[in-house]
Amino acid sequence: MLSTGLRQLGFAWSMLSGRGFRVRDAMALADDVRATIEEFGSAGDGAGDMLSAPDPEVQDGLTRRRLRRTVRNAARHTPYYRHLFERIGVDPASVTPDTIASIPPTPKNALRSMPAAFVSDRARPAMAAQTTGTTGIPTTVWFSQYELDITVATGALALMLTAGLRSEHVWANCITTRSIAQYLEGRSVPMAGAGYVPIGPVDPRVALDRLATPMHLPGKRPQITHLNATPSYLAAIVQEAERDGWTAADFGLQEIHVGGEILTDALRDRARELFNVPVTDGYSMTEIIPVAGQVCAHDHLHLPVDLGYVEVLDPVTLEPAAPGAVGSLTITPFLSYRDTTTLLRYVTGDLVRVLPEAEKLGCEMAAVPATSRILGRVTGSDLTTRDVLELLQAERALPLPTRYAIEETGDPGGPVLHVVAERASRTLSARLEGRVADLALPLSGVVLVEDPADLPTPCRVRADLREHTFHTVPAGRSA
Amino acid sequence: MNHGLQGALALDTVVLVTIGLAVGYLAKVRMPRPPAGLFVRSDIVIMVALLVIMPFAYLDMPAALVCTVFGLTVFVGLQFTLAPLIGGRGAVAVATPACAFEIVAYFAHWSTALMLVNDVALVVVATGVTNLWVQTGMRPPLVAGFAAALVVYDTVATGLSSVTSDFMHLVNGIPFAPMLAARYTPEPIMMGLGDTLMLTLWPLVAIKSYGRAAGICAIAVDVLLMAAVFAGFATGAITYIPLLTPLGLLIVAQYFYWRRRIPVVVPVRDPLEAALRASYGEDEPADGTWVALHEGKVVGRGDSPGAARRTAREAGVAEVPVTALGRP
Repeated sequence: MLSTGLRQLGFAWSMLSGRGFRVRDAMALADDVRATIEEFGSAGDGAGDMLSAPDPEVQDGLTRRRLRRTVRNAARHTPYYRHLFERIGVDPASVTPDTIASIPPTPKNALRSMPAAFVSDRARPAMAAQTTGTTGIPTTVWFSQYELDITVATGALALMLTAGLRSEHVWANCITTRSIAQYLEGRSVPMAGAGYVPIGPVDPRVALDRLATPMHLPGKRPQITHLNATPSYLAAIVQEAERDGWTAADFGLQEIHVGGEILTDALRDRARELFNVPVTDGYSMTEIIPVAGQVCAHDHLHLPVDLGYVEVLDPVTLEPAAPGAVGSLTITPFLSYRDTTTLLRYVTGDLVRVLPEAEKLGCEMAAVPATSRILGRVTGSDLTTRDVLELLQAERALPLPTRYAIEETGDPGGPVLHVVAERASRTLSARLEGRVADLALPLSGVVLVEDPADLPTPCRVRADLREHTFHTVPAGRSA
Repeated sequence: MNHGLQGALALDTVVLVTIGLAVGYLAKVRMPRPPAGLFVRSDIVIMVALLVIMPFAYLDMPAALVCTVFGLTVFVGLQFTLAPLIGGRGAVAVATPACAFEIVAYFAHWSTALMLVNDVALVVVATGVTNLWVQTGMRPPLVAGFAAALVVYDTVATGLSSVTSDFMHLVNGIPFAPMLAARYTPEPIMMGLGDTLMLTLWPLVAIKSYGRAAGICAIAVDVLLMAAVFAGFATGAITYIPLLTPLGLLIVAQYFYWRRRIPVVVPVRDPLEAALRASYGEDEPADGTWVALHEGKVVGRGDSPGAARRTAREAGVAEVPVTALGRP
């Protein structure tokens, strides 16, 4: 208890000072929290405060300090930013949250084209993570052993203190085994004491079978309790389970976590209906680790301010988006968590809406700043990915995962929406067009196709990152 | 009965009251726990190290500084013990005048009042400290290890050297002395706070870990030990005793006794045991077919473990069955 107290003080000091963590202490602290929970059933009083931000005034000072250290380090040691600062003539020491606009935002393409230029000269690169590259070109991000370890330790703390993961639980991951999230969770979930099952994005029938399979392990629930997947893979599972007659009673699930893509209300409701468990929507991406957001019960995306500096920039002008306007999430991960691939004002391309000034946060996460949920990309005139997915996933006759393409035709009514359907019919088409009109979406028409190859442009979703297995499950009874 | 024996009897009674209060406190009061952390082996090592070092340090400190250290300890101990009962402010409102009174009583030479108030404060502090240790997960092996270390320490410091004796003279009659006292100089009758803590601690740990019988046994052992010591004083066989020497050995003995009598039970996974005992008989599954077994009977079949589990659910089996592959 005395040594734990010292470790907690050290962890708190690192959090407050913005300096690096002592990895050994952070790991030991995660072990201490797990042991405490296993002994008493819960962490001690005030445990949640270990990961939460202090009051706003203190937070402002901390943000300035962390940002200053991060910018100064990038300008000194990261080739891309060293050249950038020389070119723009800005003194890195002068950068504060008020003057951060003096640094040009970093576009995704810059990192994609020369990832090594973003790796600090002082770094000790240990592991490369490539993004899935659904847009065609993956982005490479290097991590040091320090970054991996500290992210694992803080991830384990968050799983225990925020997500309520306990040693009796079994966590299954259906995200691609090539992702950094798979690696990190593969270490942080066992550190939290829970069991970890890396299923990967295999044939959804195999995944369902694994979820239903009894395990009867000592100290664990008899079946998998937590599922982590991308929304498109969850959609594939939901589709398969509905077709094959699975019910919630076949599984032991307690929670589903999704992230990496847009989770629509329609898909969330369908998954809840099928598995009878809450579906938690999160946001993160490889480049901005450890910055991660969570969607609250009021459908806001909350992004904590102590892991990185978060901005929402107008996608065209790259100026701060006004309240109520749509902008791109732009993130600067802080140096204490990221010392290898360093990024300043990284434009994620993921759009959100800045909350109107009149909108007061009244949810359980009100202390953490928030935006709207992720809207995706803008396709056509003011049409977002979320608009299209909400429209299509509310229609149960369409197959999951949803596949579509937007075709600009020059029609003043807007682009044409091409959608993959199992059976293209006039009735279905009319129903969709009726909903387009009801929602006043800027679309001039809906075209149904029965083969994804007939879409004018390929539609890639993360569920397509299918991994093969020799484990086969016979076709479903009602399929 | 002479005054010395009356004093010793009074001290024994105070210790029993402390044990009773601590047991009641354990049953009724949940102390605030730190965010993370249990009482672990390293804590015992730190405590033993402090226990060995501090008496020597105190002997070289000015009395005022020793008083200040103990005063802070008593104040904090009173505060955290009483806070769960009467709130943080209430606890401060009690602890502050109690500590202030000890200082006033010392300068006013009200030695009896000082002794009484200090005894009451130490009873409360001992109740709180032992509960804090137990409620933060101090387990029997740790207490036994601590007790074993104290056997060595007390034998040397009290029995074979003058460290404890010198320390008793240093704190004799000063405010916040860590000694329960029935009389101060010239012929002090005192019992160290460490003795009181260990007499109180083991019954609490025994109750929490091994149950009421172990707790009653621990208290009975305490009473018998104190009775034996009292008899030693009464007959003149002893004039002082390193109490932790016999007490530590008795705690270690009790630990080994209860550990053997109440071994840690590793739960058996009944569904698996039943499935392994099962004889399929005519239900022998074909090669490549999965079966779901519940209470040793086949309750579902399928082409995969999940499918077999599902057919079991469809057959009305609410519990999660065991699945197994048909034997070739």
